[in-house]
Amino acid sequence: MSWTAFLQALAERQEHALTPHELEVILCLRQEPGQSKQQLLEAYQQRQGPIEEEAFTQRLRTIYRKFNVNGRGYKLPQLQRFLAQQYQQSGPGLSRFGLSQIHAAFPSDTFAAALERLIDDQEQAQPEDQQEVAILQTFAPNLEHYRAHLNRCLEAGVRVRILLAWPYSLAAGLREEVLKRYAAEPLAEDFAIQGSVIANLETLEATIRTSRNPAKLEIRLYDTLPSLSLYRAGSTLLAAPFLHGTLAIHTFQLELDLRASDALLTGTLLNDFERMWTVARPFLPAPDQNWRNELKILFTD
Amino acid sequence: MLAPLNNQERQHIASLRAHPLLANVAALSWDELLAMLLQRRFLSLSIVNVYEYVIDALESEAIKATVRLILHEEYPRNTRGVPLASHRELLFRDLLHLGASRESILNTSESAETRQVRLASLEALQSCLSQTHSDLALIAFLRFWAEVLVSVEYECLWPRLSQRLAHGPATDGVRSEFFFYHMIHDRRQSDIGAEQILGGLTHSQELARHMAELIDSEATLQIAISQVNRAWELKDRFYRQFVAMPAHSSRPGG
Repeated sequence: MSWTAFLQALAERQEHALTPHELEVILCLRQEPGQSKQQLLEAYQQRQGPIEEEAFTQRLRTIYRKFNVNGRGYKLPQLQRFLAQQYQQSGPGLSRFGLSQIHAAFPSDTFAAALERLIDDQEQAQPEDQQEVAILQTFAPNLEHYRAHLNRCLEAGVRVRILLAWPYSLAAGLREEVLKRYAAEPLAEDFAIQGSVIANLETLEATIRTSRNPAKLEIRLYDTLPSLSLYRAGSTLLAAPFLHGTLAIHTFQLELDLRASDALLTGTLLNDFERMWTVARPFLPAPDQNWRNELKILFTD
Repeated sequence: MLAPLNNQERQHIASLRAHPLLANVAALSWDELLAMLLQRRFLSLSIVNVYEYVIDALESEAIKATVRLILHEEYPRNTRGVPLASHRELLFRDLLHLGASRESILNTSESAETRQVRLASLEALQSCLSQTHSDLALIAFLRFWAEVLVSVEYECLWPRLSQRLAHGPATDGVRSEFFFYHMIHDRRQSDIGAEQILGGLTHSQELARHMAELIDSEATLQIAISQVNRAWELKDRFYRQFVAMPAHSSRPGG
């Protein structure tokens, strides 16, 4: 069942007794958390036409009452959480595991939107429970693309954890050989995981240099085999396997909601991230220092 | 199969650590220590020639690729291709931070003994070409001369060097950019044939993996041992110029 169909069905249930006008408001709610009242109003106006803000607020208040949203603090996030929970429980099976969508490849816009929500929540002092960004990759081909987002996350005080392969590990070399030998589409002639990880570290070095809050950025490198690629922004998690024939970002991606009622998938993935985080070693590409020397000996005990 | 070679290496390493100069660096004045380091710099400068010679002389493309990678680390670039400070520049900086003046580094001449050792090292490589297994001879000499023993030398010197150079965060003092890192990433780390999958490989181990593949008989084993002996003799000879001591009449363990 789609989110819209779910809202329609829920709102029409007799016990809620919503009026058609209130239903119009409900249908403008996004599935993803973090939608502000102003954004909801704009969505309504786009869908239904102009409305006085006072009238809109009145409708929202009635909706809160009808859904028994009476906790302390902002009511809209409470309503969103309630509806998202109901939606997960209404699914035929997979939604309770948090599986929101399956994408054919890394959904750049979805991750960017999740980062935006996280930043907005943080700036509006409405942080979610899980307010962090985490990336697990051998190397992240799209890291530079998200550099501005990461900078804003740091400035907003969001913890950012980046977990990459130690470029001199045999495991990184093995992954490179596998891709070169079995990739369905030819890789760039000069493709090398070593250089790709170092390019990521250069991006992070530039981030540290320009950030006013670099202490929130934590980088670790691992010398073991990677399990999955993970990109997390708040309660959104994108997970993909490392297949022989292609880079992880070009593989199908599971979009998961970390607020799932059943943590079989999400908990397992997060636990594996934490396990790798524990065995990995901290590394700081300190600006204008010869960090390449330290990188080379990171795992030489 | 590799045990005699590993034993011989361990004995040479112990012998170099016990060398009258390297075992007593604490007794050297800073002037004496710096004078020795300025001569040692000539061997560091010659490493590029040594590596280039080995690349040209090797027949195996796989070994050549390994040696080339190690050499290119001496001249790092960022991923946009911009050249960064070479390891020779980093050596120069470390020497300055240790107290050597720019003039003394640039004006010090190579001593006759240093020159002889440097040239004899290149001749040792040339003589590898006449061996039945020249690739093995070349990397056995290269590994022990330019990696394993270099790490041992810096390990012996580090207690003195660390009085003026730090490692780790810059806040701890002036960072060593050359000696400390070569001490770590050149070192032997494990016996030949016992390299671990996790943890990465030092330069010595990267070359050791090729050696382990090439040593498959008593004859090849002896070739490797003879090159290890030769590399040790040259290093021993280099440091003898700084102490009043007679030449060794016999090699340790061989």
